[in-house]
Amino acid sequence: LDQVELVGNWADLREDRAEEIVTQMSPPVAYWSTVLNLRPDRRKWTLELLHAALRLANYAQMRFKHALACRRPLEYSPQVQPMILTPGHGALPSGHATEAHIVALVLWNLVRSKEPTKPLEWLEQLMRQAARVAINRTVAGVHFPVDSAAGQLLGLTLGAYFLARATAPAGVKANYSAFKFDGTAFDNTGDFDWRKHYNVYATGTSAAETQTKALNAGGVAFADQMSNSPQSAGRAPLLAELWSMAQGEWP
Amino acid sequence: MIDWLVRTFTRIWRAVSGVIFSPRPPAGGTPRQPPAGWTTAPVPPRDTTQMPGADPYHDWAVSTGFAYYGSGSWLPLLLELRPSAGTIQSFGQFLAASPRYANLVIVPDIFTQPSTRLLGKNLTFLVVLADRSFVPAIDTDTSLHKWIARYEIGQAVTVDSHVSSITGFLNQPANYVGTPKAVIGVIDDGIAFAHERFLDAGGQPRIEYLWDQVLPFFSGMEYSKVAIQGFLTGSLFGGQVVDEDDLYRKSGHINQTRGGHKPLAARASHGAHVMDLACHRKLRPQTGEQPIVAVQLPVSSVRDTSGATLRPQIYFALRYIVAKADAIAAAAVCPPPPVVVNVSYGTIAGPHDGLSLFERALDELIQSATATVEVVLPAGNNHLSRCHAELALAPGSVQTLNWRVLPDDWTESYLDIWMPGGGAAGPPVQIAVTAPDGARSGWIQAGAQLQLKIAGNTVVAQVSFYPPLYVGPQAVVRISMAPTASPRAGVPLAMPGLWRISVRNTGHLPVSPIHTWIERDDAAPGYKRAGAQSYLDDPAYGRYDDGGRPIVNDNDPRTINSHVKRRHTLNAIASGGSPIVIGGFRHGGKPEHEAWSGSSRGPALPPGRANGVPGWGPDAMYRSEDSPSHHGVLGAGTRSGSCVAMNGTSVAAPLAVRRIVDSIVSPSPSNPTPLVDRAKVFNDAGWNDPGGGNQPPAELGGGGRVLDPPPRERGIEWP
Repeated sequence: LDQVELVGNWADLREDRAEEIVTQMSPPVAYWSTVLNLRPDRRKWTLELLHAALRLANYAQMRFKHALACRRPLEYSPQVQPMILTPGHGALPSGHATEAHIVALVLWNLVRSKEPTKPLEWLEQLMRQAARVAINRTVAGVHFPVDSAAGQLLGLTLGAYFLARATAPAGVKANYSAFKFDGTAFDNTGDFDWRKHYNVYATGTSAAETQTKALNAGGVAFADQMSNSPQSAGRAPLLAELWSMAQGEWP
Repeated sequence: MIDWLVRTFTRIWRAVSGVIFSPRPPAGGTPRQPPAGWTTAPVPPRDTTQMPGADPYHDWAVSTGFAYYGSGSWLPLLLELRPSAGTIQSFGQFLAASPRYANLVIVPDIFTQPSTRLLGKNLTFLVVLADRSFVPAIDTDTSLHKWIARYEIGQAVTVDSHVSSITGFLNQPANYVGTPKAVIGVIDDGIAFAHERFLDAGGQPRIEYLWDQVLPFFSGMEYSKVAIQGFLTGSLFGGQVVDEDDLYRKSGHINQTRGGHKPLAARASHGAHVMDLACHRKLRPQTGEQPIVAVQLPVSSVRDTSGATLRPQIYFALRYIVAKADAIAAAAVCPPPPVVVNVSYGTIAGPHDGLSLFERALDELIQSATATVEVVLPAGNNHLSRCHAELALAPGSVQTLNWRVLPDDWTESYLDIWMPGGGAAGPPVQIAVTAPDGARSGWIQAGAQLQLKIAGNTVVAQVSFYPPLYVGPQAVVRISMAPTASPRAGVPLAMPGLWRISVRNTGHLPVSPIHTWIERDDAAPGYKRAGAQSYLDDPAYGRYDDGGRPIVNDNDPRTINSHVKRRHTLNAIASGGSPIVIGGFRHGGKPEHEAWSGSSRGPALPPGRANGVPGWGPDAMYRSEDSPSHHGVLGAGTRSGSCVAMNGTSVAAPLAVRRIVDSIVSPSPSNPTPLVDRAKVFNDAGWNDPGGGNQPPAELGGGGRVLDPPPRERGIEWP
């Protein structure tokens, strides 16, 4: 399997990435904090909001993981020798990729809702970091690059849904773009390169349109917009309340 | 006097005990692969008046079917032509006209069309790319004997579309902006060409050319300044900061669909650090003023730290840098500027007399150039590696070297014993080797060869005793050993453990000095360990004093009786008379400015390093350690803004390059004359030495220690 070969090649960086890999086993709040400060005493509702997003991601990704039941790298070769314990659930989509990308998207939209002129480099940095978190799982030997690509799409789609639920005005449904991942269209020998699937600098008139353009920017075969996209979702009152409390923590 | 008595007594005792008690372990044992035993044969005959001198690795390569030279079908060969035969141009014409060789050998035009500063010089060294079948022909075809005096083989390469790129080496930059005052050459691994430290005052890349020998292998890719600028803008997203991850993905340097080490994927690389130390200026230079020409060496050759296969690539790279400097001058319409090249590589084993093929090639290049070419080499880090021994054999005496070959060594191990030639028949010395399982060979003398074979008739160890003129003026015993472990099945393995090498003087006169060096076999920085450094295990060698500090002086009473020595450990490619060789010292700690314990020590053997400069070893010491608790010195990581510490004489050498270039570009009161030869670097170090009573002897520290640049001040910026 070509993807195992990639896992082996990425393993060259294990010594370099060991600390990151171990400290990113649980949600890497400290790493997000290096971009946007998430000190618990100043940003407790933001952290609560992000954890709500993480719970959504976790439930959704586990449904996929269990349904697809994709094998982990170590089940293909005894020489993968992962640095950390391989979880019991399936490989695709990568939970770390899903979670890192939903957080990047939600956090960015939260901050920008208060500061509409905040430069897009902040989003770029969040996305770069999310990709790095995802790739570190490949370095560790527990995920294939294709898992990260699927996780990125899932995370960004879930993020869009989450934002719709949190920000839709009362009684109005908000649109969000939904994407599907076509594994058969993914190049067997392909590596995960986040820029192929996402363009930070895409612009649209609405959040959903921006998202659609951002994801379409790469024009990659395996990331199709779903035929019934955009979907719409209504306001979740509790989530909306949490959103506004978190908003209050940002300048 | 007492000292002398003790030493003499020890020598006599050793000689006698060697005869009486020399170990004779029972033959047999239970090795993992039962040896078929030692066989003796003459070394392949070689009429040195006619045939070329051997690559010391050549016979081993032939015995093992070139198994350790990689899978490519083409071999880079470093050749020395006989001056009487004709010029390189006529050699090229001879090959091109030969129906047999026209398609087997490529002579890059960089050698047939020398650039400005080498015009009209009858150079005798060149690198060719040759089909594997050409190598045996060098030995057997008398029409080639007329031309080739010596040759050395590099790591096999795959040749695809390289021919055009090799003939494209003489391209000139179009519309050169600025006036080059000095060209800095860097030959290294992991050249982070997108790093902001290598931009000039105008934000343009200072790297005028980068020859990447990795992609595709050897023939490589040449990146011009314009191409690098294109990569920089191609990975600039919205803001001001280049995404270097994205850039190196696009350039192919981080392509994880390919195997092997990618130095630019890691946070630190040797090349980024070294190039930063050599090239960085606090004030970015004006555009075009101090251009850089860099060469990224092929990864598989860097991995092989024995350096055996790296030398042809390095010489090729040097000639490339010189040619590019002249091309820059032509484009800028100015005389050829001084070129200062940093080559932070070193090996341990070699003749150490400056007469090896590569060292002669360096000397010829530096001495022939009509405009300054300086090559700066590290002194080496093997002062305390126990890879060198010095014996003096009284008539009739035997001494034994204990060679500790480590388990889990995935690469070959080599040990050389060099001794005075002693006439055409060779010195009156015999060698016998006992394998760790007790299998003992018979004695052989010059001209004979021992092989240890395992089941299946595969050679796993070979002892070749070459008479003088075979490899050089000295007689040499070369012991080559297969790996002791391998991740792959079917690789023939040698036995790890204590290999005993007995050396016997059968003549009536003392034989001295007999120098032994073990070839380097550790891991290059950032690479996974493949080899394991073997060493000489002498019970009389003292490593540490009672306080746990390393013993750094052979005259220390705790180690004085050992034949394993710290002297003569100089980098084996640094014994020539012309390169500038730099050792390392530690800045802080007590006592201050002490020589770094690992920094190798001269002197070279005569006539090596002979150039009117005292010491016959390194020319100066530069900073290689900040303090006992801060190992190494700070320099650039692979990504802009990152800073890492690396140590060793590899990082001292580029600091010397920086001072030399500074002295050329902007002479200052403290640095008034351009330091453009060894003597000036030596004297400059003497004038600037901080003193303090612990000045290293010249054989270790050359002229003195130079504190320029000082360690960084507190803060983000490093010097």
